[in-house]
Amino acid sequence: MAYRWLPHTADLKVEITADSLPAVLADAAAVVRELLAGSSQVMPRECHNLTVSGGEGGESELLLAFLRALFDLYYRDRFVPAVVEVREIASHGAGLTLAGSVWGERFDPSRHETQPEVKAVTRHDLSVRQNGRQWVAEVVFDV
Amino acid sequence: MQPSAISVERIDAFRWRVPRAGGMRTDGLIFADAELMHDLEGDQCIQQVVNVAHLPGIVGPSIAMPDIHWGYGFPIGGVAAFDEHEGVVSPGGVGYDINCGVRLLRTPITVDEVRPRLKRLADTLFGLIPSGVGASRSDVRLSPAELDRVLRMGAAWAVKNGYGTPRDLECIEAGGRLEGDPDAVSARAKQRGRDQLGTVGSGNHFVEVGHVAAVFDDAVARQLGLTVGTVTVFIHSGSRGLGYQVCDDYLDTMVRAAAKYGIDLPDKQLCCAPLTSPEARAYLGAMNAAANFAFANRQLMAHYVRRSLAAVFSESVASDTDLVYDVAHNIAKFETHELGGQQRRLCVHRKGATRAFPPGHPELGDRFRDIGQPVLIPGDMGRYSFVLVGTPGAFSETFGSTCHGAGRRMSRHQAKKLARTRNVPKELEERGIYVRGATRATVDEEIPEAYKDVARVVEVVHAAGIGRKVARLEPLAVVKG
Repeated sequence: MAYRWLPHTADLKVEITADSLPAVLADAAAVVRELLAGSSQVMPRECHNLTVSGGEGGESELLLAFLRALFDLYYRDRFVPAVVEVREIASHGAGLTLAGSVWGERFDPSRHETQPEVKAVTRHDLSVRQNGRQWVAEVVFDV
Repeated sequence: MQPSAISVERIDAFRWRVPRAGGMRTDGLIFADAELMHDLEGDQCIQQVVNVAHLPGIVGPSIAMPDIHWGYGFPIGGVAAFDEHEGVVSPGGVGYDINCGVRLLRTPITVDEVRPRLKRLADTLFGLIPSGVGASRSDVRLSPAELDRVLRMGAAWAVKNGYGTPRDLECIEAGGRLEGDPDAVSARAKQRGRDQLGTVGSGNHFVEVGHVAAVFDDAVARQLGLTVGTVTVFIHSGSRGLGYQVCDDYLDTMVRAAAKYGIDLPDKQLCCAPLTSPEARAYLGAMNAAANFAFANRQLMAHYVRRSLAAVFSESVASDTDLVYDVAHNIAKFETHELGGQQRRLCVHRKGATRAFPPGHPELGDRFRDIGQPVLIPGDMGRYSFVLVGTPGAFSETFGSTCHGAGRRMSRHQAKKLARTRNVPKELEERGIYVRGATRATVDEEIPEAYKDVARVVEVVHAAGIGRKVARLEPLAVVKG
């Protein structure tokens, strides 16, 4: 897991570094886990299949759609991700599609530390780029 | 002082110009004193003022208030007006929390009367107004048809259903109702908001019991019912999950629209559509519907503030608690302004900025016509807040706008790190301020030091003539999300 929080006055900005795009997405799920449950342990008790399509904009739009899908699971079912498995990333028209699974559990206030609300994943400064053999992503969350 | 590539010129003690350059269609204009400008060092907000100046159809400068800070797309504290024919609307210029705003109530009790029961009042408010992430009410469940009525009627829906009085509606910007189109709001957005009406939410949202500590303008303060010692209640919240989802939905629409209409964007979060386009009409209908949800949300919370006062004091204290005013500070509105001697209809975006119309403006209700629009400026939970009124200076220079709050100066991680070894609620309690928070994390992120000194922000708008100080309020008890 390789991500770090970058300075941002009002919102939250994170930088993820990984050796592949699927690894970036797996680390992005860990970011969501921290935003929803802090440092509490989240167990892989339930599995949801994920199919996510990003719009034009390639990897960054895919990352945006993936993060939104994870927050959607939380706001719909209070589901917090623990582990993500990316099975396939494929091109579809002008964008990318991801197929995979996410394991996690329902938020339990007796075991999980409640965090301030994340309103949205923004496109401001959103980027996913390949830097030599590494992939680096940046995302700003509105809180 | 600012990113090296951007030139900033000092105009006077409180104004700074960012001259038009490159793809900018107009200048930037920042209201700040030298110290507030210094605080912006290393922050992207001046770049964001520049970015907004690139948008098609912008008229007048891209404006920033002294509480400006780094947002996403538009800066927080930004004001931009667009020609109704040539201009655009941008959901990023309104923000995720559509019609996030502030409401101020005044009670008939004094600070000396409230102190002995303050702890109980704080606990009662905390119990009656759900706060925190995903907070919901079990006593206000809306059917799909009822939710659509909220989205059409705003605060009037709440009053019609027993949450408040008709007088309340006279004291809300736009009467608490805009032309909302529930059909333009997605099922997902409705689902997110359905059980959140009457909840404060998280982050910097709060319910705060305070008192009038100082009056700067006796005549106006008297007209607003604010005298030294009066106990007040501030409510800061918005359109909750419904508004966030409306913004998210229409950002996707606007990304496609910007490409469709050939709009070149310096930041994708500024995505927008021409005001004459179907995409803009749909967004404005949905945005107004979300704004109505926020007006109704604050109206319900005011009802539960009155119920708390009834439980802790008496029914007469509750019924004599009046609304001073309710303002939106994240909104885009069509308004008529004079430009170059001509009256023009403009779409004014205020993202973290408050409308501040002057005395005599026809959009103000009779109650406020002589004094100007009340402007409510919360500070942080440890210091003070302010009540101002709108001025002719604001109308001529900033499209009738002024600041909205203190503005953050410290990141949330910095604030939490600073608070880690402290007991912030205990520190505040030792100063006579009770804090109740849904989570420790929120309270720690919101420590007073995380914010600029709102007095400094207010001094700038007062001295620059884009707002006039009326009263200073100090906190007694704060419920944080």
